[in-house]
Amino acid sequence: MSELLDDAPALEVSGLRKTFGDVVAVEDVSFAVRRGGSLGIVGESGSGKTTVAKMITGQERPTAGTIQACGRDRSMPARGGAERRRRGREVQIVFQDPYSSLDPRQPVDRAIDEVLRLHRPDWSAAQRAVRVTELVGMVGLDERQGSALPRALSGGQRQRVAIARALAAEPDVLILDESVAALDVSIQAQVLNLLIDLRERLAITYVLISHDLAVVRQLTETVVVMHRGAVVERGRTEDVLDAPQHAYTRRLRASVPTPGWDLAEVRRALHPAT
Amino acid sequence: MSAVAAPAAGAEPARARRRTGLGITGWVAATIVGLATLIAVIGPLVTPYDPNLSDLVSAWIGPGAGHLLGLDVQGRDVLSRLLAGARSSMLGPLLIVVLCMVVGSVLGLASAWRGGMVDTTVSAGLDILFAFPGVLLAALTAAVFGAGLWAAVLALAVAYTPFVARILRSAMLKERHQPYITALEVQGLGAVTICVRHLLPNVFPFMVAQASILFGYAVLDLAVISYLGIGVQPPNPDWGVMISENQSGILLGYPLPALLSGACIVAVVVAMNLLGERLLERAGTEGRR
Amino acid sequence: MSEPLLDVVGLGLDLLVAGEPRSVLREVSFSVAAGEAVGLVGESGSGKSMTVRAIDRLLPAGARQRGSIRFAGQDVAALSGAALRTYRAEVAVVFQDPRVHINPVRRVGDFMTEVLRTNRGVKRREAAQRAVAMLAKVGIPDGERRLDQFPHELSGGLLQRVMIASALLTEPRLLLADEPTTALDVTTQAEIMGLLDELRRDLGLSILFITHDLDLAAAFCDRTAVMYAGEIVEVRDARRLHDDPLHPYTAALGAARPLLDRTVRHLTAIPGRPLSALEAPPDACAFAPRCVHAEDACTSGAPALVDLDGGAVRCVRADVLRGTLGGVPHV
Repeated sequence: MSELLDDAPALEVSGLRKTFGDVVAVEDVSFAVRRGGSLGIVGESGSGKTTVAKMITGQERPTAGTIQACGRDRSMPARGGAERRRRGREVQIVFQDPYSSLDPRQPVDRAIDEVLRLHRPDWSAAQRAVRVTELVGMVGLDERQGSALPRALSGGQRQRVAIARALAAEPDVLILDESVAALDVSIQAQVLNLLIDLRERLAITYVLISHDLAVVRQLTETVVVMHRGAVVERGRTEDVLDAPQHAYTRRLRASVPTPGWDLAEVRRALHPAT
Repeated sequence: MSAVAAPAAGAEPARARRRTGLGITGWVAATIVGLATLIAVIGPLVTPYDPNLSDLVSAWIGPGAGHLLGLDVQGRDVLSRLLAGARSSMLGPLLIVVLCMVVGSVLGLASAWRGGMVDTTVSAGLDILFAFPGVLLAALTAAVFGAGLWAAVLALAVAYTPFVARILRSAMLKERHQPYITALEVQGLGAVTICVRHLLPNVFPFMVAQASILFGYAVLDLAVISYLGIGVQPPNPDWGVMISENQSGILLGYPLPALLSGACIVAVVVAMNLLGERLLERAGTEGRR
Repeated sequence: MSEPLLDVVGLGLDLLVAGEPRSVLREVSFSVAAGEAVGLVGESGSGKSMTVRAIDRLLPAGARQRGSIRFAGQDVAALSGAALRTYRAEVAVVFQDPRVHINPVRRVGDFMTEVLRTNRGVKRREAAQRAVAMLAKVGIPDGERRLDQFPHELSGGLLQRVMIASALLTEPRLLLADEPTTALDVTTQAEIMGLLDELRRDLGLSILFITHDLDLAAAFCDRTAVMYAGEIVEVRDARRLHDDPLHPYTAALGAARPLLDRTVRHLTAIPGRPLSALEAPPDACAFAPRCVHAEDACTSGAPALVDLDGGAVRCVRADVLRGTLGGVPHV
C-alpha cells in the first residue's frame, strides 16, 4: 500500500457499463468501499452482479466507466507482468464452487507456495514454507490437510484453501463471489465466522457478491441492490434490509422464507386478479 | 412420471470414484503396443536373414526349413521382413503423432486461450486444411518432394493437424474457463506459465489418449500410402509395402505373406484404439472432483 | 386417523461402493397423509435424495432395500408392469434443476404431452388442450405459445413451472419435490412455493418436500423430518420443530444460519463436517462427535427413534434437553 494513496477508497467504480452485443448487462453502476469496509452486492441472476465482479478482477473489460483499487486505475488490461502482479496484490477473489477453484493436480501447500513465489520473489524457500504453514493454520486447516490434494478435502475445506490462496498475496480487497453459497448450512456458518475473524485481524476490505440477504447482513456494512444491470438501492446494510425503499428490494426481502411466511400473500402476488 | 434418474444432485456420499485401472482389454492392448514398440526398436537387429536377400527360385515357399513364416514373392524371408518392417511402420506413425500433437496443441491452446480474432483466424485456417484428405495430400507431397516415408509422414501430419487442433481446442477451452485458472490469472500469473504449469498438465491425460487413437489411424493410413506406392519404396521392408508386393499371392493361393503383414497392422491399430479409449475413460474420471 | 397415503417403515438401503455393500439409509420411517406437506430436511450426504429415489423406484443397480414403502396400502417394491406405471402416474417428481431433466432439442409441448399420448392414448389435440389448461393453473397464461417454445427460451422459474405442470398432468396424488427451488432465484422460489401451496390446497395434493433449508420447510410444511447420516433424527409438527427443537442437530442447524434482522458477533457453527451415512458408526449416535450436549451414553449405543411431545426424536438425552435447546430466533 502506498502512503500517498492511503486516503483513497479501497475500491471505487464509477459509471460502469458493460454491453454484450446489443444486450446491456451493466448500466451506470457506481460505488465505493472504504479501506477495511465491506460492501454487499445483492441481486439475482441477470442482475449484472457477477459481470461487475468480473470487471473488477479484469476478466471482462468495461464498455465504459472506471474502476480504481487503492486509487489506481484498473479499467484497462494490465500492461506487463509487474502491473499484473501489482493488481493481484490489490484485488483477489474467492469463487462459488469449491470443487473447480483449485487445480486438481496441485497439493494445497504447493498452490499457496506458487502464489508466494510470484508476489515475494525475494523470499527464500524456508521463508515461504513458514508463511504457507501460517496461512494454512489461519484458515483453520491442519498440517495434513495442508499438504493434501484437493480431492482429499471436503467442500468446506477446499473453500478454506481458496481463501488462504487469495490471502497469500495480501490483497487490499477480497471479492467473495457467492463464496459460501454452495456450502452446507453447518459449514457455511464456519466459513462465515472465519471470514469475520480474518477481516478483524487483517483489516482487509470485502466485496461480497450474493443473493442471500442473511449472509449479506452478517458480513457487510453497506450494500448495493442490483436489478437488471442497474443499482436500484444503496445504503447501510441494516437500513436497506430493515426498511427497504425500492419495490424490488421489498420484494426480495419478502421472498426470504421464514416461519409464518404468508404464502397466501405470495399467492395473491401470483394472481393479482383473483 | 416425466423425468429420469439423474446423477445425485445433492452430492450423495458415494461419490463414485472409479478405480483408474485399464481393465483386461486395456492391458492386452497395452501389451500388444509394447511388443510392437519393442520389435520396432530391436527388430531390424535380430532378423534371422537379410530382409532384402532375395532368391527367386524359393518364391512362395511356405513355412518350414529354417524359414518360420515362409518366403515371399521374391523369395525373401517373411519373418525377417516383418521384423525389419516394424521400424518404418511404427516410427512413421510416431513421427506423425508427435508432429500433429505439437502443432495441434499450440494452435488449440492459442485458440482456446485468446479466443476472439485468434480463434476465428485459426478456425478458418483449419477449415481449409480439413478439405484435403490425407492420402491426397500425400500424393501431392510425393509429386513435389518425391515419394518416400518422409513425404508421407509430413503429408499425414499436416492432414491430421486440424482434427487434433479442433479436439484439443474444445478440451482446453473447457479447462481455460475453470475457476482455478481464472484465480491464477487474477493472482497476476502470466498466460504461458499458467498454460505450462496448470492447463496442459490437466489436459495431458486426454492428449495421450487422443495420441494413442491417432497413432492407430496413422499406422493404417501410412500402410495405405505405402501400398499405393507413394510412401515407403520397395524393396525397403514395410508392412504396407509387403501387402502390396505380395497381393498377387492371394490370387495364386499363397496369401500368407500379405495376410501376416495385414495382421500386424490390424493388431497395432486395434490395440492402439482400445488403449486410447481406456485412457480417455481414465482421463475423464481421474483427478476430477 | 385413516391410513396415510405414503407410509415408509424401517427403510434401510445398502449400495455397492467399490463392490461392497455399504449402508446409506437406516431405519427411515415417516408417513405422508392425504393433503399433507411433509418436509425432509438434511445436509449433503444425509440420505434425503436416496430416500426419494427409493420411493420413486429409481435406485441404482445393486441396491439392497430393507423395510417397506407402502403407497395407498400397496407395497411399492412389489409393483411391476402396469401397476408400476399407474404408481408412477400417481407419484410425480419435480427435480432440483429443470434444465437437466428436459430434452433441450424438443419443444415444451412434446415434453408435456408425451406421457399422456404414449401411456394413456390421449389424442394429440386433447393432450395439448390439457397441457394448456394445466399451464394456466401454474400461472402461465399464454400456454399455447409456450408449447411451441424450446426449453432454452424459458427462464429457470418458468421452466420449473412447466415441470410442475407436466408432473400434474397425470393427476398424481403425491408430489415428490426434490429441492425444486434450490437452483432458482429467491423471488422465483417464493413464487414457486406459493404455487405449490395453492396446488396443494386446490387439488388436495400430498407433498414430500426435500430441502436443505430448515426455514423453508418450516414456512411451507405441516410436518418436518430432519435427516442426519442416513437416519431420521427428529420428526414433528414443522413449526414446533423449528421453534422448539428436540434434537441437538435440529437446534444446531437452525442456529447456524445467519439472521435476516440482525448481525451476531459469531454464528453458532457446528464443529466438524456433516457425516455421510457411509461413515456413520453402527453403535453410537452419529451426531455425537459434533454435539455440544454429548455424554458417554451417546456413544455407548445407537439411539432409537422414540415418541416425545407429539413427535419422535432419536436422542438419548432428548428428555433431559427438552425445552432447553431453543429454536431459530424469530425474524
